[in-house]
Amino acid sequence: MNHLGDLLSAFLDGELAGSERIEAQRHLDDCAGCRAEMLRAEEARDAVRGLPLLEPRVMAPMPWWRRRVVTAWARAAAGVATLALAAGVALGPGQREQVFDLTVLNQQHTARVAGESGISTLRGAAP
Amino acid sequence: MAEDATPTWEEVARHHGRKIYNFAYRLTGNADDAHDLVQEVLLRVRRGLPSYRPGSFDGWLWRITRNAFLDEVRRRQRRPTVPLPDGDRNIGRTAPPPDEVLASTRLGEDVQAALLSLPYEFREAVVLCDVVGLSYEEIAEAVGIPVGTVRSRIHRGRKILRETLR
Repeated sequence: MNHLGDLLSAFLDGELAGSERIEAQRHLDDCAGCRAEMLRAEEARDAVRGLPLLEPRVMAPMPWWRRRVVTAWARAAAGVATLALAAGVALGPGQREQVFDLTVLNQQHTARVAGESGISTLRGAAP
Repeated sequence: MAEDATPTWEEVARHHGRKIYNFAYRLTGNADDAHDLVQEVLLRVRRGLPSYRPGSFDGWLWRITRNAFLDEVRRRQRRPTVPLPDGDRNIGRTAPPPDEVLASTRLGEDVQAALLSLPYEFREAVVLCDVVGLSYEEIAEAVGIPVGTVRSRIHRGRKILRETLR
């Protein structure tokens, strides 16, 4: 069997099955070069997987083309109920960092949807 | 999320919003662009949900996300092709203080910079695999390429990353 090459990451990720996996394992047992290359791929993989999961910066200033839509919407929509989404989803004790704050995201989304002809009703809007 | 249920867009926002944001952030290194993409994807999800037929939701969602991202990139061709990381990082400083070096390592800025140096196809495959957590099959579906191409893009991307980070 030739060297594993591009198959190494698939093997590493458990993405090979059946005979392909068995053959790859057999080759790895005998080939120090492929084992070394797989270790290097694993280091790169771990570096990316170790990146922190970032939270959207919900208060980020909106670009001008969005702001214009929001302003127009705000003028037109006085009195119209906006979606009543809770600020994030409580997942349980100790999981606060998992909460995804929907408040501002939702306001901005609602503002954008207002300019969309294809979406006429707001799901969840108060009667 | 159950495979056979069609989610609401609010559920998509809750369950996938952060992943969509991180996908875009890791591809661009830019928080504003990533935030815009979340908005755009939610809009497209909302438009598309009525015609969504239960199946591989992740494949469907990430195909939308990826297309939205590429459309946005095309629309902003006048910007640099590889945006600089956010301004609130230590751009331009040659020697950050030691405590900031530790913080920078923890935030993975070296890894982020290495990701941004990858050709787009490799970066996308690596991010979908190792940041978003999709299977090779799902990546193939989202990107519209054979699984064999996914394998090679991920492995080559990792090889370049490893060289860059060494």
